[in-house]
Amino acid sequence: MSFAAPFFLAAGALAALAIVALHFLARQRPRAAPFPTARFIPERPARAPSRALQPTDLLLLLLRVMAVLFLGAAFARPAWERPRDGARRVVMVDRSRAVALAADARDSAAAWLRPGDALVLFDSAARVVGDGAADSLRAMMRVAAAGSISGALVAAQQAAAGIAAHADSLELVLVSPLAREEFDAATRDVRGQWPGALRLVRVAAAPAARSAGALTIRGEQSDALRTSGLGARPVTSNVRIVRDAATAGDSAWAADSGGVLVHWPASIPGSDSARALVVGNVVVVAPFARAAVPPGAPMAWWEDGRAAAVERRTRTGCIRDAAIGVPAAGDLVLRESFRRAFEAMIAPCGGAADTRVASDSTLAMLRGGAGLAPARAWTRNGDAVPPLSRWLLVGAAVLLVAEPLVRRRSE
Amino acid sequence: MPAANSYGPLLDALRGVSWPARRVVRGSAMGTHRSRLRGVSPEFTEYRPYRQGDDPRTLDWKLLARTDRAFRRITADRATLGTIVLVDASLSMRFPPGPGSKWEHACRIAVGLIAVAHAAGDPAGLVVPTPDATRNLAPRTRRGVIAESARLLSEIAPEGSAPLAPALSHFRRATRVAVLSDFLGDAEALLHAAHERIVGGAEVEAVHVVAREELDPPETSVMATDPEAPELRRALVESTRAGYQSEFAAWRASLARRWRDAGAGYTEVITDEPAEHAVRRIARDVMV
Repeated sequence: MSFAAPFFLAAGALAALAIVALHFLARQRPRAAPFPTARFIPERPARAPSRALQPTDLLLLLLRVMAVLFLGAAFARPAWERPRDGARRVVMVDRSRAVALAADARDSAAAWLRPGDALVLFDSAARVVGDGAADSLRAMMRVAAAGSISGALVAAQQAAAGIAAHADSLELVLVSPLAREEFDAATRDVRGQWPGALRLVRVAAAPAARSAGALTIRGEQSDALRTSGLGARPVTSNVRIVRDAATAGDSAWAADSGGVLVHWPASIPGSDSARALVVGNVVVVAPFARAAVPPGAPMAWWEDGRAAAVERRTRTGCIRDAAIGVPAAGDLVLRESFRRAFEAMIAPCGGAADTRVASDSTLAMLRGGAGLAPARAWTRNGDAVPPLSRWLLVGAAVLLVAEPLVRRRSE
Repeated sequence: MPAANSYGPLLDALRGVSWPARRVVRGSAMGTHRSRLRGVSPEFTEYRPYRQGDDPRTLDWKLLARTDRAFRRITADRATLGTIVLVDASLSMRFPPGPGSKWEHACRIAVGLIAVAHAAGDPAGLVVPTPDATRNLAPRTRRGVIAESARLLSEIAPEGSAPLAPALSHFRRATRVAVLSDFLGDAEALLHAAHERIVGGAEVEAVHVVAREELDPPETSVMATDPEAPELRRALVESTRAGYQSEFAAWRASLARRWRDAGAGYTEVITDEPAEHAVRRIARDVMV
């Protein structure tokens, strides 16, 4: 057993000693005895100091001492030490679109993963694999979503907490092409939460996408998107814009082909309107008709913060629902801002891929300092109350409740 | 309390002790106390010239024959003095608990006083107020009075706080009353009633029974509780002991002064004083 705050244990012991000393020296109520001439005794407070050489009220003394010792032990945060077996690893494996070959990532990760280690599979989201890490690694497939190292680091913290009790130290391994698109503004802060170094295992990145896709617009021939020339723009993935009702076939296409299905109705019912549209870092100021969008991850917003377009992932691609009314007349579709907003709407799932390797400074930041992370960083969480402390607190509370009852009886 | 048959050594120790009256008595029955009457006893006192109307039986005929002068021969009479012993049987007399209590000591002194009075030929009786009724023995000179008194006392256990003042009016014919008490009950009313009896010609002897433990309380701290008034609780500790002793001494001194000012005798008896000594002191304390 170990104590996270042994000072409290010592303080409790000192308090118990003080209680024992006070038990012999405290002002206590003298025992009652008949005394016919009591009326001639000056009136004084009923409690008077008396020094008892023989201990009395041993049960009361025991209750008080035990209560103080329990409190001290509870605040000392005791914990049972489990046997530890050296260092363990948390292996983060990238399966995002930035990975060229999933097999490369699998093989690299398998070389580092040992029994008892934790596995984190990540793309845009991260998942901690508990039991059967090797099987999960063998079954790992590449997905079309962009990777997020920040999310993987957060999941690694969770995985570390799960195995820290069995290890002295933890090593963090990242198997990834380390593409630029996998870093975001939070990466540095999240990395700072890991107290040790991070081992980088780089795998081949997917080649940069070229204009190999096709953009099709299904709708009227007089559709403004089509007539303005936006429909002829080169794209890096297959994009299908549906200006009428989407069909089951459209959904199946989005799920199987890995393309982008944009359900963008040409006519927006109702009279609701907005004056500005925000897509990424592009702002389009114009009167728009608008409608509600189904649930999904927002990718475009109106000026009042409501979602204008959302994206939903399919197995290999994505479906986007846009409720943005584009006026048939006027020059809106010819504006540069609208063109950039349109490009964002037809961008590959997860945005445009950037699989270039991150800069050296970014990688150095990711590696961090030398040394393994001590497992105590997770097993001694300052906010969590150890179970033994809870029981000790309960015991102390029971003793403190019983103390006045026993005191009343002894008086 | 002492058993009725345990007074033998005490009675032996008191043999020959007299308890004379404080002043001449009115009684006419022949006794040991100086009587207010002048009579025909052999104890010559003085001659007085005979005057017309005097009892011719008092004439000293021999003197008349020798000197031809008529003188009366005056002698002092002796009378008996009815004595009542009033014993306080309140709960405070049961202190200290166990043997040697104030009640036990008072019983011995009471029996001793009755024995002394009885030996002088005085009618002696006993009055003990209890919460239920006032137990008493009328003053008698017959044999067995001492044993009856001892038996009566052995049947009584101190309890409650029966007032003593009403009992003082019992047996008004008795002209000497000895009050054995700790005077912690109706002390004022008792003093008032005693004063009335004294004015009426009676003698009153106040015997203040004090426990040694009341004079020198134990060093251990206790929450002193008045047995007759349990709500009265005071801490008898190191810091209050001196104050208590001072207060208690002042009260005893005041009590003695007031009884004596009222014309009564006052004797303080400590429980560790042998009863025969106390009885001798009570008897000797009287001004003859």
